[in-house]
Amino acid sequence: MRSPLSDHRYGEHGVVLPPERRDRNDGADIDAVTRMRLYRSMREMRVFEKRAYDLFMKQLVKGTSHLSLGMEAVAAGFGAAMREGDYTFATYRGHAHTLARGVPMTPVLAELLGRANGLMGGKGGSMHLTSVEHGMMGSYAIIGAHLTIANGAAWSAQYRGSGQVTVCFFGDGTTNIGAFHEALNYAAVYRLPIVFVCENNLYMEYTSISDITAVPHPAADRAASYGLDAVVIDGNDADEVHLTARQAIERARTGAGPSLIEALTYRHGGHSRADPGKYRPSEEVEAWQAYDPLSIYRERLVRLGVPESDLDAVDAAALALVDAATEEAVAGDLPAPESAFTDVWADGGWSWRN
Amino acid sequence: MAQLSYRDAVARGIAQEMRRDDRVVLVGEDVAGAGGVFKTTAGLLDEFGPRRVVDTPIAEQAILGAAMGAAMTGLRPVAEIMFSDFFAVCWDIVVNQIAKTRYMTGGQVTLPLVIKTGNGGGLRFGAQHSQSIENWAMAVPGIKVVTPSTPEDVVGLMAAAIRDDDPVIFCEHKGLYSMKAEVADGEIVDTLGTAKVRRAGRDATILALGMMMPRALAAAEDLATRGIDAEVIDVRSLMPLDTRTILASVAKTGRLFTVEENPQVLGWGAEIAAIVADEGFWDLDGPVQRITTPHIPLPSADSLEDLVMPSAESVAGTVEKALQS
Amino acid sequence: MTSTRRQVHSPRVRRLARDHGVALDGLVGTGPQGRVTTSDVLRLDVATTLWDNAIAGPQPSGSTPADPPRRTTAVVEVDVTRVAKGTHGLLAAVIEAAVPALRQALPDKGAGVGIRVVAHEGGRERTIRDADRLSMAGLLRALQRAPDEPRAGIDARPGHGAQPEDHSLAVHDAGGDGFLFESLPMAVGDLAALSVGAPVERPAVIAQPDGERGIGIRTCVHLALTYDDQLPRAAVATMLASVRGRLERLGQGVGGASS
Repeated sequence: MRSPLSDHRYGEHGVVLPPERRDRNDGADIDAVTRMRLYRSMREMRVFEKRAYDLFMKQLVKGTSHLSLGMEAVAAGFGAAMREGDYTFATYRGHAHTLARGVPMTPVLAELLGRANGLMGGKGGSMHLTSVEHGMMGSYAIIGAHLTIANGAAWSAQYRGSGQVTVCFFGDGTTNIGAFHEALNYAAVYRLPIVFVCENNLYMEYTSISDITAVPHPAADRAASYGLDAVVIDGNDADEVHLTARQAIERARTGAGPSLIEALTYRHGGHSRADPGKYRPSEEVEAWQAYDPLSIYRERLVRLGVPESDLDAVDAAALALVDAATEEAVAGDLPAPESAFTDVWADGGWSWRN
Repeated sequence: MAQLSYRDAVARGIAQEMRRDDRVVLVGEDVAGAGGVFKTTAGLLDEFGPRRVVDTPIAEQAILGAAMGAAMTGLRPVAEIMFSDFFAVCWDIVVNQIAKTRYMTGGQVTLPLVIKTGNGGGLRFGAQHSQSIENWAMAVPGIKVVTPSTPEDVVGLMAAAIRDDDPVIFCEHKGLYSMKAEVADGEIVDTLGTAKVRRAGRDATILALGMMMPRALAAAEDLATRGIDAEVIDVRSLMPLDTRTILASVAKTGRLFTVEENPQVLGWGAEIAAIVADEGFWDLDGPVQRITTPHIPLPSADSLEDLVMPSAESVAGTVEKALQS
Repeated sequence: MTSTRRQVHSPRVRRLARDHGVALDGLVGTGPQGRVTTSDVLRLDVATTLWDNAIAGPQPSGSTPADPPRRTTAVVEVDVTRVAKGTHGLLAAVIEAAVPALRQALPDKGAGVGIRVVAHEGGRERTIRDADRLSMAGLLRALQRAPDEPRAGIDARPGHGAQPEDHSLAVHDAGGDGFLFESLPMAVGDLAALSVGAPVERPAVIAQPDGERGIGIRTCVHLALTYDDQLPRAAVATMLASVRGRLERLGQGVGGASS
């Protein structure tokens, strides 16, 4: 038997370096307003995730959290391409995807703190962020399951002829679980208006994805099995993500069926808060931290003539937002005891007998 | 009034609801073109078309996930899991996703969906196609569970399940598909969470559901010839549970028996026995006894399957012996 | 037929007994293995109620059939110096005096009521049918006979050989345990329960041959009659006086029976 660790010691696998070129998308067909929006969106996500980390260190955020530090470009790029009414489905690493749909920071932070003014009243927590009002149809904590659920939302839109598109985000580890394959086949068979986005950060939890996947590109190399195109993109280039997103969403909206996008990216932190990430080679980590989506994009904007002071102002505004959100979240009441008994059923109650 | 079979009643209940509400759709393996492997959805494709009656691949997680996503976004799907044993294949979608999402999202999500399934044994299909899974389902907060035992109840409870805004698992008993009874014409809508006293009595309360109902009734008739007047209650709904009817009956008779097709440990009767031992304790004139299949997988040989499942004889024998000791 | 295992009553029986004021201690019922059934409890309650109604007439509307019957114990001291002593002599003499006196105390002098005596001695019982037809010698013989099977306590069922219409007078040898007197429980069917205490020698006022009063040594026993609404108080007083008179005049001549 050839086991993943029979060829190398734990943490000492081959290094995957980020792409080299950085100015390829300077001339992309994206207007300045959208570009500033992408930058602002990424910056807000960055400061938010950092604040979540700090609050966890102060033990105000309980349980665990899965941060998107370093992966902001995917969420921001798609968020800017989606319309109001489109549906987002994400994993437990869903803070950035929630903010990308315009959900304000306060309720998201308050939810992490388990307060009554949290997005779900403290009932769901970090891994289940949901705001139906914003089209954020949930963050899901069982690997692969939400791809099948996303299909249902897409089917519903198709049935109703509403033109809504569903975008479903998941990690590289998801591509090996049964629900992934069921969902991809199902979406292709019914030509559902859905975009599947694999955020390949090179690690399924604590193990290198290449050690436990039969093919080099965990998502793209499976696309052909479902009659779909293989698409691999630089997930840290917000413009590249945005252009790809536009195209795939348009395809879905016009009834041409699903797409599967593999976006290469990297997380700055561990899998979850409990994880110090010692299984990643240090040269790899350093190289990817240098290939930070925010730095790349800031450099691009400067090359394109955006004043640094404008960008600084955006940074400051983002910080101010997260500071205000922190204050409101920390001031939030604990959930009322009765709230533990609400909303099991549609009538708002939990009664199971007479 | 007309004779209606249990299997036709399923199609009738679904059709009744699909006619009155465009949001009701049906999805499952072989439900459309073939009318269902048990012919429980015959005629629906013809009446409602392929957009509303959908054949799927063999992919239980995808089927139930799709039902959930559609229910979240405005539809009222009925999804089929062909044999209830297959719930094990997609149990994550049922218990982690469907059951919990409304609660976790603080009530933002409503899931008006029905999962219909061919449940139960007695047809010599062997252990992987014969399970009774009501006890699995009632143990999970957030899903409703019904098991009708007559064609009329099939129509009425299917309608109630589809109209309910919560997820409902609708357990059809495979062994009852051929059962026929007189059912009134026209719309029938029942109420979830209600049990029915099928036979009033004074000496003992016997609870049953699904295919165990006719056996419990036959046992009661036999017991009557030996001077024991049993009250037989069709539980019908395990979640929500009609504890009021059950407790009132035990207050009258003082003796409680359950007839359960599931394996003994933590069958649906165990919860009811515990409730009665708590709230009906001072009404009990003897121990609560559960008459169940033993704690084994179901054998496929007909003689063995008949031996291990509760029968009218074993029910009558147990009740009589208990009342004499 | 008797159960020697510890009595276990179902929750339903216990609740009914509590609600209907029925004492379960030592009760043996008509259920399997002597289990007290719910109908036993209800019958016990109804039996008392029916008898109450028969004696006292229709109940005023305010009374409830569930009230437990009122029990009273009346005690007299009897000079039994003249009564033959011996193992059963005192008991036989008491029975011989008590049964006819009891019959006199019943409404219509107990016409149509059969009285049997259940004699309790040292935990053993003897049931004596037609006690009022037996002479002293006959009573003695009956008491010397083998006792009925031992029972843990009061038996709710009719005793050995009893007819359903018999009622019993329970006579307890309290003196055998050294008691002066006992206030006794009444079983279903008991008209009254009579305790015969330990004979005690004491100084007493006596009539001397010369007509003057003097002090002598007399043997006394206490007779304690526990009765309920079946017997009016006045009748009980008369009965006990009659019993005492008979016992104290014993040996002074033939007969003397009050009947």
